Amino acid sequence: MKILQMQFFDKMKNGGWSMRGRFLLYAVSAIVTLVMLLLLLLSIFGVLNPADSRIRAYLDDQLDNHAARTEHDFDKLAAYTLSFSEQMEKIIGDQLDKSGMTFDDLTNDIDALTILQEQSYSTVYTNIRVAPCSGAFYILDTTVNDATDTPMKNGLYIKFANLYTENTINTKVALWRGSSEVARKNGINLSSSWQNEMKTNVFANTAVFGEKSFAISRVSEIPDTWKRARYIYSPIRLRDGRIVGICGFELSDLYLRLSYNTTDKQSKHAVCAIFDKNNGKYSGQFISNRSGYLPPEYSEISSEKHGVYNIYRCGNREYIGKESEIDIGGNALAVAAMLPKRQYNDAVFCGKLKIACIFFVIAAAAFCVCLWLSKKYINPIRKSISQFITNKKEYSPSGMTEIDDLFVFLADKDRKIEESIAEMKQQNTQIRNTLEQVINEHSLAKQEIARLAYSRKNEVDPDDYKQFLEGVKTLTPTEKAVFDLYLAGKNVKEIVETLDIKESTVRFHNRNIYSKLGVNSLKQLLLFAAIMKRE
Amino acid sequence: MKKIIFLVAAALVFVASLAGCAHKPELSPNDPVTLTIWHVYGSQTESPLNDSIDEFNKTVGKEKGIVISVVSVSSSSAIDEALTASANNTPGVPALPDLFTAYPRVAAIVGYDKLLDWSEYFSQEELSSFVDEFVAEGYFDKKLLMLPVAKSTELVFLNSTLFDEFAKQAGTDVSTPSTYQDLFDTCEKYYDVTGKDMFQINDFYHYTLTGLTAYGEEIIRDGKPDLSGEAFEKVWTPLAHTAIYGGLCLGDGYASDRWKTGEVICNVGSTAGILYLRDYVTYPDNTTKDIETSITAYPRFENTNPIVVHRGGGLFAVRSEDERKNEAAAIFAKWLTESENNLNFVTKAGYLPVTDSAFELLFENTNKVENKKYRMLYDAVKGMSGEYTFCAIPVFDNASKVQTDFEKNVKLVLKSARAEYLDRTSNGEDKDFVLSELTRASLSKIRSLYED
Repeated sequence: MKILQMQFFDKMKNGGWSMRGRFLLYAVSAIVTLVMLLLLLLSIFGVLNPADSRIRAYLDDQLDNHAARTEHDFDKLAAYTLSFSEQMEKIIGDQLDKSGMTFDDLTNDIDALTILQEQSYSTVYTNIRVAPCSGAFYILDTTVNDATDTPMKNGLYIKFANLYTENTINTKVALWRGSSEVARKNGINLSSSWQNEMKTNVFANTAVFGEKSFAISRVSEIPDTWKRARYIYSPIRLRDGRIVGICGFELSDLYLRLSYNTTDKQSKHAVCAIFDKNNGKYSGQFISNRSGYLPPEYSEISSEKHGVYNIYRCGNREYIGKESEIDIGGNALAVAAMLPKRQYNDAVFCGKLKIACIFFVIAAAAFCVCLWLSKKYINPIRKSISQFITNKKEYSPSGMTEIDDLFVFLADKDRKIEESIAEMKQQNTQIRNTLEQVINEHSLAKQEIARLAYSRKNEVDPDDYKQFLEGVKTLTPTEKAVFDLYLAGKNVKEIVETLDIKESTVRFHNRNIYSKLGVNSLKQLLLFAAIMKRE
Repeated sequence: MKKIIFLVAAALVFVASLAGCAHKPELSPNDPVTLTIWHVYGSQTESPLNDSIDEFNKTVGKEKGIVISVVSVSSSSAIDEALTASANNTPGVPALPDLFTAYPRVAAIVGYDKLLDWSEYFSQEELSSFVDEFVAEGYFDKKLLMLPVAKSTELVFLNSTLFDEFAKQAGTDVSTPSTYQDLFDTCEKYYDVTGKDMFQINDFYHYTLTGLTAYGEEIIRDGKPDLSGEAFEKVWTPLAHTAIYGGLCLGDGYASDRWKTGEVICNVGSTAGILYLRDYVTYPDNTTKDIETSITAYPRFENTNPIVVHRGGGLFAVRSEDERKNEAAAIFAKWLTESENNLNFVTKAGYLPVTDSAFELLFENTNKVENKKYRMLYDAVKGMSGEYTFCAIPVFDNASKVQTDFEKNVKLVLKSARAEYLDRTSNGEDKDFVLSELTRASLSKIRSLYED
């Protein structure tokens, strides 16, 4: 890899890339830079995760709507509850006045309690019909039999028998708690889980009210059934202010699911909830959604903050959502809009995949365009260059002014160089001829010298020449140097400069040389030397 | 150029592979399909079908991505009303659920074209495993719109603890009645001794149907009850006699209501009624009394071969444009009618299974049914099997309304006669004379309501 990188950078440095390769490199680099810049901008503006933005906005909308409606409906139900308790207080007060009994006298008096139920039935029935609820009840702190093992409370509790729609105008009611005689007289059936009276531990102690005029219970299982419900109820007070019971309404899970609905098709599994918080855990009710796929009714749902969302864990299911708190007359409730985390993850993944796909397609298309452009742009130039190289006079123009001007310039330059070369060739030929002439003359001169040397030898006395030869051997080094310089054709002045000696010294050596060689002139010395050289 | 084509093709393949993000046509646990259901198998106290649905949701449903969501557990008449209202787009009534259990009569109300044809999702081999008569009942215009999931027949339920107290009080040997005549006679004795009604018939239409069939006549002619024959007089007279005399409850609602308070100690009703018959009665002073229940075969009519209705509707699915919902409905229906699952469901609810193999398995193992009351029930059904002729409830246009009206009319006529009887006898008129006269008059009255 390093080698490849080095080759790449070497190529870049040495300019070894083809024109098309370089063009592609620059173009692709430009595309990559633009894509990166676009990604950065899209990321900053949140466009890169459209599913998350959409879901966040959707959950915000759902939460706002759900919180507003829950608050409105619970407020309305609270108003009905207060009205209901006032009606019950009047009925009980009137009944006690009429019979001359105290409230405590009602205990163990079946007839009196049955009469009270008969007289209050129409009030309870009217309230269940007008209030948005699944059941209406009143429960008093008295019983028909205080000797039973399980402490019980007397009252009337009616609920819709076959609830399948929020609109309960035509839905029959059944008696869940109360006298069967009252049911017969009013033509309603007993519920399958009917009992005469209510166990005392179903509702919280009346102390729960404190300063509040009504209370909202947590969600709990309806005794003897597989259903769950939340209750909203008010105290029933005697005229002296003593609280002797409660009355109110039941909001079953089923009724809530039928009454509320999230309808968005895109987020069909989205669900809204009304939660109670207890020691960091949630329990509550879920309203229906388009798919009907609701969380299991776990009593303990954990929640933890995760960015802008909350993560809710209901058993083995995880939901992502948002929540807000509402206050209904001092009763705090949390409402939440949630989406299965798996659906959220799928949506986000798909969103990112689509964005990646779009970028991939754009990049691929841009690369293809680069390839096409490079082909269309560079190929005519390459063709022209190729033709130009092959034949500088006959080539097709590239169609680009700069390139064609370059070709003209190069052709002109080439022509001038050719002319210069031709001239130089001509000069060379002349020089060559002159040289040959010189060499011939030199050869003739050498032949003449040899011929003259031969003829002079024949003119020289052999004894003189012999003395000369023997005399050469006796020359001192300095004399030999002077002798050699004479042989080299130097004159006295030049020998003085060469050996850096005085002229008188040269003349002194001359005398010794002449004496030893047996010559009397420089001419004779050079003659003998020439003969010696030839031998 | 080849490179470009390759790149473009690769990009297209990549884009096409993303199509999965937008459209998932198959069942998947990652995108579960939820089917809402209204059914009749259970009550607010318990629902065996809800238990089976929980089991399905936890196993096959979880694996395949199907969630069955119970919206309403109700009575068949309430579901009839709701379905009729839904089908008619009555304001304020929700849309039809994805699945519902109902009697065959609702198919025409909802509309055949709106319902799923189960035969498109069940093979011939799978359908052949069902009891033939049960499947045959579900065909409408050659389409299998109602799939049998549980059937029932009718039996006599008796609070034997209070009945034995009555027998002891009466000082005579009062045996458990086996014919309607015996039963009515006992009712009158019970009334004489206790001053209360002993017996309640949950369905006068079924009583009349079995009676007329036993005497060889048909109850429906030209789309309405035909009460003009001699057979009807034989069926009506003993019934009216006891109703007017006292001992037969004419109150509204199911017999199980008065069973809870001990106001009525005997009833003829569906085997499924066992789910609602408590093992104790509650008195007005809030004390309770544990009771034993005796379950015996459906009463015969005098001098006739024994006949009883087989009843219980079936499972309908509303045809959805989302094919996944149709497929999910079929998967659930198959699961629910598999022998083991079906037996598990029906034996908790007092119903009968719907496949031949499950029937054989049940009758071979009635002694293994743990709950004594349920064991008694299946022993009674086993005893009737082979001896009794089972007749289906006629299906015709407007059957639901005809049946409901018939119930109302019978009660209206008998209540009126009973009130007149009490009025006249309290004024000193001869009881036998008045009884005889009012019995005849009630026959004329009820007939007059169905004459042209």
